[in-house]
Amino acid sequence: MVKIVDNLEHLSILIIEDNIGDFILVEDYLLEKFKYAHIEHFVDFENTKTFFENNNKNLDLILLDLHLPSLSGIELVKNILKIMGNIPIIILTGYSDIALAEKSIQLGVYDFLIKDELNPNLLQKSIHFALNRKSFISQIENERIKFENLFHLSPQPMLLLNYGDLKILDANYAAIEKYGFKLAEFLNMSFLDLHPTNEETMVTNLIFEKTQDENSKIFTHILKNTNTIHVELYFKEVAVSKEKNNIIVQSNDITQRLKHLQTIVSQNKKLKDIAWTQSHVVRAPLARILGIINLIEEEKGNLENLLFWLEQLKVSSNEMDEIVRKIIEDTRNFDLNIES
Amino acid sequence: MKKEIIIIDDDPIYSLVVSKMIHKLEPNTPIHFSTNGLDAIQKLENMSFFRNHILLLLDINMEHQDGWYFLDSMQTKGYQLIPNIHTFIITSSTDTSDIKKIEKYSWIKKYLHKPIYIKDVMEFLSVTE
Repeated sequence: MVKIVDNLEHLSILIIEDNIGDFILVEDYLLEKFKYAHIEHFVDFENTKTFFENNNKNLDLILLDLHLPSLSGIELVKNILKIMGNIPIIILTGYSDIALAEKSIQLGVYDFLIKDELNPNLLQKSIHFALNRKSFISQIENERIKFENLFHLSPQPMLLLNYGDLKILDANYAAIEKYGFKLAEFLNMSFLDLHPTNEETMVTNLIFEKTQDENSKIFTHILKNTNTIHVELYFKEVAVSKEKNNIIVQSNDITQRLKHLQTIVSQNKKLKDIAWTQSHVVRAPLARILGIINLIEEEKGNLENLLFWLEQLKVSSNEMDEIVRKIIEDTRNFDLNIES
Repeated sequence: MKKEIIIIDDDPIYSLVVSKMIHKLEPNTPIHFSTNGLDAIQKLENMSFFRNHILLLLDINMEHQDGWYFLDSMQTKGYQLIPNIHTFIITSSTDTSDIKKIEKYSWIKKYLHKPIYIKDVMEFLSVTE
């Protein structure tokens, strides 16, 4: 939200003016419109500079005469702007200096007022405009910083690329931390330098094909320490000006995710193997045991060689016991470490 | 028409159990034993399947040439078209992939999971009636 300066009566204003008559006039006008204004006064650049160097008191506005004893004109304006930071400056000048005053506006001065035309209302209006403009400017600046932070403070590594040659123009903190390159090193690199040579064509195709649905694929990125990671890349073209486009890349390190996936795949295979064993190996002796029991029942105790069949039951039961033990062993040895 | 039976299974005890059941129902029907697919196909080749009914009781999981080998060999030789040859699968496997695979051989009379009961044996033997 724009905070229009509301306590206008309590403004803190610095007047830099070497002509005492002019100063008294301006001070009168100011106090007429801003009853409780706090007014500082300096007559030359040197004292003003010292004041700023030793004092970080908040000033709301500066009224500046273009002709001071040791410094005047554009040089004065430039020097004042240098030490003032973003405090609005309004120039007080005579008819003869209008051209100079207009030039000052281009340098960043907010407004200029002709001394001979000055009156309380005009002064008040100019001050109001200057203060409002300043609060708009700082609002825009804040938003610019906010948007920059979205890039710089994002937990996902992000890079800003020049469209065309894919030179890296900026890298956020997460990218600097993930890849190990300093910002200055990034700025000397092309995005393609992060890829092994065999992926370069693929990446370029992906970026410039602009196929909407397939703008994410898995690639390899080489870190500064020459380790490699698997990344999923997201590209977004952003217009910087009418002619110029940049590309924002977001890179998600999915190395861990792929490893976990691999673990799951290898565990699934083991589970399948166990299921297969259950189905084939366990059921073999079990089916035999049941078959023999059927046979004994059918014969209703008249079976020859009953001892032979009982022995077979024992053999098959032991066999099954062995198999079940082995399955339990296999399940326990479920290797959570996929490197093996 | 006479019938002959081949039990193709590498589990000798199980084969013995089945043969006992058959023998109880039809003491005079000849029973041959085979423990792998290759031996079984050779035995089948030497039998007079135009004069006699041949009942095949086939296990799937065997060492060396398994039941699939036997089934594929039969198809190569065109034996699946001979009406006197009756093929039954008796397997201990309950694996769904095995069952799906068995269903692809549409000429198989029936498949059963072990263990089999005397009523199953009766059903096999009555296939020729």
